Amino acid sequence: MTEQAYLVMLSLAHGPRHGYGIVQEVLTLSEGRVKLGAGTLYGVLDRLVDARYVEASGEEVVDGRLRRYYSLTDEGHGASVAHTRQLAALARTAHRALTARPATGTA
Amino acid sequence: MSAEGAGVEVRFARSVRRWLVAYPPRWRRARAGEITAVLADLAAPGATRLDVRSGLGLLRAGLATRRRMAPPLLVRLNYFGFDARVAAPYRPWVDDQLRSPMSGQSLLIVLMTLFFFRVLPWAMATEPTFDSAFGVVYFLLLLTIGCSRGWHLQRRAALRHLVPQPGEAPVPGWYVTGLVFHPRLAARSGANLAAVLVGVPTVVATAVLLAGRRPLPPLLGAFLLAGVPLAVVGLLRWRRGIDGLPAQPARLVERANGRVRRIVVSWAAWVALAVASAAADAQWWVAYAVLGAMLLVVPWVAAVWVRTRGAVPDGLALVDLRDLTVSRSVQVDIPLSAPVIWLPGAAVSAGAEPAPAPSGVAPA
Repeated sequence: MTEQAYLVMLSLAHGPRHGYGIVQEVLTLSEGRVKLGAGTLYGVLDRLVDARYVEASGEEVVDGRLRRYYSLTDEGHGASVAHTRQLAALARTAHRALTARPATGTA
Repeated sequence: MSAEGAGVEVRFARSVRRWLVAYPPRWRRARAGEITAVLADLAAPGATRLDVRSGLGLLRAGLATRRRMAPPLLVRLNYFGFDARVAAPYRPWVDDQLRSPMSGQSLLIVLMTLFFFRVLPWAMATEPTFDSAFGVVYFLLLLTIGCSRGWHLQRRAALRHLVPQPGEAPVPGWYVTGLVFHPRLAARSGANLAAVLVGVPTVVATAVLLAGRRPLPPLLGAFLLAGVPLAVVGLLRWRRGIDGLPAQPARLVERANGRVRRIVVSWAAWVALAVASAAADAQWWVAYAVLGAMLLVVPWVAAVWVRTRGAVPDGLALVDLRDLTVSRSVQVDIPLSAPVIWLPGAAVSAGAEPAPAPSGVAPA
């Protein structure tokens, strides 16, 4: 799972969001590091919908603009949880590896 | 949903639509409104066009989407090369191909033409068979593009590739065979297009010959005179025949839409390019042949154009003028078989829009 796909799924963890809402939430979650363009966003959403991790969950027109909402499926929620565990385990392993590093430097 | 929602500035929506060209048509139909709204939200307030960086992102993502939604290579080769029907899951992709300006088969012909006339001679380090090979290429391109875009060819291809065959269950929301009105080009609108189609090559061929200081032989005048009787016969027969036209309950007379106009302009441009290209190679026979052929029909086209400037019945089609000219009577159209969307529980009317997106053009 790519970082962008993971962030999109996390952005939907608290409920359905439309495209612009997802972009904003991903920006927040990544602390300003990941700014999704529309092309990238919809590429990611298409793949997640194909994988049945995400589904369209209604649409509305606000100020003349079409908002289609996307939500996380149970399968998508499970995949997010599993990926988060993997990342946490990797972080712990990385932490151990880095703290066990022998001191280098001249005596 | 139209991309031009009330909340999206029209020029901005138009700009987005141009950048979305790389996406497959079915994706655009489903998502254009939504992605336009997101892009409008992301853009600076008052923006009237999409910035280049976002546009390039859309092009890149569109190509990736096109690749992702395409069937395996073998299926594509089978379709392009042998016009083979593809399995049901890939038919939306075929629908996209049939809606595109150039169908798959015609693309293959164009590539083969370029290969045989340009790549192969270059690879074999020999000169092309024709000095004006580009002129020939242009003619073939013209033929290919024109044929591939005709509404009737599209309709037949769609019936063959999209509609479930005996033994296959119809799918709700997908195509079945239905009956549609027979589209015909309105006489006045068709006369304008015919004038462009004949006028542009005539002017270009004449200009090319004059610029090349080539003689305009009397034979060309003879061609022009040979076309006059047809125009006179037409004018006489239209005077009596137009008022007595039969009712056409299965006909839909339409003005040329943008797609038809583009086809006609591209035809005229391709012929003009072929003439100019051949002239650059000193192949003057191309200009003479084009000019001769055009002069034969110029009088009749001029007669049609003049006749349709006056009052004509609303339902008069260009094909009626042709039929009256050659046979004094016009044919009564019957409904055509065409793919229509099957919505269970909804009656399919004869006015249903055939697919793929009909150009509305019918052979005049």
